[in-house]
Amino acid sequence: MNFVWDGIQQAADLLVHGDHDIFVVVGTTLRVALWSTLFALALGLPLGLLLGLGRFRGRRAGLAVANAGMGLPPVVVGLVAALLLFRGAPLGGLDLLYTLNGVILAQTLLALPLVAALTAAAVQSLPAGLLEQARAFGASRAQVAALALREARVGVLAATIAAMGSAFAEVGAVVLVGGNINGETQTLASAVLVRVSAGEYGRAIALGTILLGIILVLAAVLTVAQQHERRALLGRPS
Amino acid sequence: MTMRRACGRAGAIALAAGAVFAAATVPASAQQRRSLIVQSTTSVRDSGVLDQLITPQFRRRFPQYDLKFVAVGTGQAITNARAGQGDVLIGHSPAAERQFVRDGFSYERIGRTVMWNDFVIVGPANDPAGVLRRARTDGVGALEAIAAAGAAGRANFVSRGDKSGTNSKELEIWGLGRVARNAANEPAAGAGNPAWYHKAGLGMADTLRLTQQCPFPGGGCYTITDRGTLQQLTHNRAITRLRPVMDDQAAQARGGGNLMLNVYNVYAVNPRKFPSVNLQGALAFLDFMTSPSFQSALARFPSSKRPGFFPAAVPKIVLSRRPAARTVSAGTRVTFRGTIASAVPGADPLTGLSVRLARLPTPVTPVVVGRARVDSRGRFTVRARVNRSGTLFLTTPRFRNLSPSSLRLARFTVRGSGTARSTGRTVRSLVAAR
Repeated sequence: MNFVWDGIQQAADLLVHGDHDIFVVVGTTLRVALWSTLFALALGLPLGLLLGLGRFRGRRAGLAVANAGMGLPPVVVGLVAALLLFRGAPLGGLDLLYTLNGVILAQTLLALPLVAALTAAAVQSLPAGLLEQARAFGASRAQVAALALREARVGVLAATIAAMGSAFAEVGAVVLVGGNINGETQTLASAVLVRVSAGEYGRAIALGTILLGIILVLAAVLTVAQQHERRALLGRPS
Repeated sequence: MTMRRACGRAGAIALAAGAVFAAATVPASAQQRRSLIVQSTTSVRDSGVLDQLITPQFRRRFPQYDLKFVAVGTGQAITNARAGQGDVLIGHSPAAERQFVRDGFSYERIGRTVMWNDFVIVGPANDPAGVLRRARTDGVGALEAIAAAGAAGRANFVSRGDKSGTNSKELEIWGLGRVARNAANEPAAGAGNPAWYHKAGLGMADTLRLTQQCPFPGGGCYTITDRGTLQQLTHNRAITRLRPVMDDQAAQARGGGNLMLNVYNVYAVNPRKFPSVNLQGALAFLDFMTSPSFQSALARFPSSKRPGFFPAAVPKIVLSRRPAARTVSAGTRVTFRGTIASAVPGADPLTGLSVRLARLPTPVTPVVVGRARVDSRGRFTVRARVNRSGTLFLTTPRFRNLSPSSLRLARFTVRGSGTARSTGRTVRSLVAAR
């Protein structure tokens, strides 16, 4: 079990002395997480509002699909995305296979149902009277949606944390679509896989420690924001 | 705290988080560089050759290409290359590669050999199947011994089971033995595999780890591995309880002396199949992998004593007598004799290969002063008259799977003729200019 201790020491060493390769991998990981979370929010929030508040045929089916999508197997998404992005395949012309943008696309697809389903659940759990009241006062649809989003922001932040977490943790789609190319499409999580394959447990633990650290810090930041929101909503002084 | 202030605080925190992200979002530069996708077997990466030799050297020499090195099993690498998903293929599965070439997916009629090592069969130190005793030099016999011990409940065999080059070799060896097998050459029992045969579906390193752990009834797990990966994992102390039990195939053993050889070849994907192929980049990569500088780096990696792979891009020339520099009178006859063979042990003789004797320096290009052909036993004799001063080289052109080579012989000074100046030409350019 020396590997674990060695690895933690290596991680500290890498963080203190700065290893160019590590910075590149960390940068790649953060870019993937940032952009896929942003795209998933941009698409998922309106979708979640629609599914949560809309009144149209097929809304429940849509919700069921979004809920099922939360359990979307990353390797299947990766496989389908990779096959669609092959040269000569329908989306081959986009030149996204083995690129960071391709990875971001796959991660967005994985995070989208998380954001949509959690947002829908959050806005549905708002007090029934609130939105009715707003409508009664003549609020437009957009205004009602904005109000719902604002009131449900604790749940929306939870959706954001979930989307980001999936982007950080995922390897199946990253490897299949990105090719796990060192310095380009390799994320911390997929780099751990390579290091384990090469029997470099120490470095694998080091990379894993850094990944955990980043997730902890970002989740803490978002949680602090979320809890501030909650206290504010409850009307208690913080 | 009021709601407005709380929102402001949250906003500030979100902004800070955004700034952290933005700092990491380095602008993607050099997008105009042409991408070069290499589909490769995993051992090139897992052995450290990719990260420590290929990537830094290739990027330095060919900054115009954006090297995308995809390391997967050879089976998947070939499938991907056949689907147009790559410009270069690196494989170590000769049968599948021959099919790849036959089907017209290779730009060149024959792949270029880069390096070789060998496969070994590893097992626990107590060796319950008695391979060390009975079949240390017989790969087929080793697997038969393991199968017999497996049937008796004393041993297990862990297969990659992933159509990798190593898996193909394993199945080839089963195919030569007497163990009952199915259409895929796997050991068979009824409709499935025997209880002692396990298909891991993992890469080489993970398979070795599984073999060491051996979570199967009866214990005593064996597997087959390439020596490079085994050395790397042993070196890392990731593998401590496995040892080679069969690692020295005898020439008279079933399958012949070359059965356990592991040869790595590179191919440029044919642009006639896929116009999108970056042929220029692919050929640059092939030239790089077979270049003297990469090949000599390979021979010293990770150490000269225990390299993971042996370079094999160019033929090995052995002179019967090493010539020394000397001063001669004009018109003196010189004769060089020797043997020339592939660096891969047991490869076919290079019958018909043309050997040239060339002189450098010269005003413009090297001058060929003598020629010979290699006979069916790999021998050559090249004769020439020395009329001018210069350094003599033996050169060979591209031949079958081998890349052009040159060997410096000696400097000859002709009495009475002026000493030629060094032109600073490299040995490589001598060959290229041929």
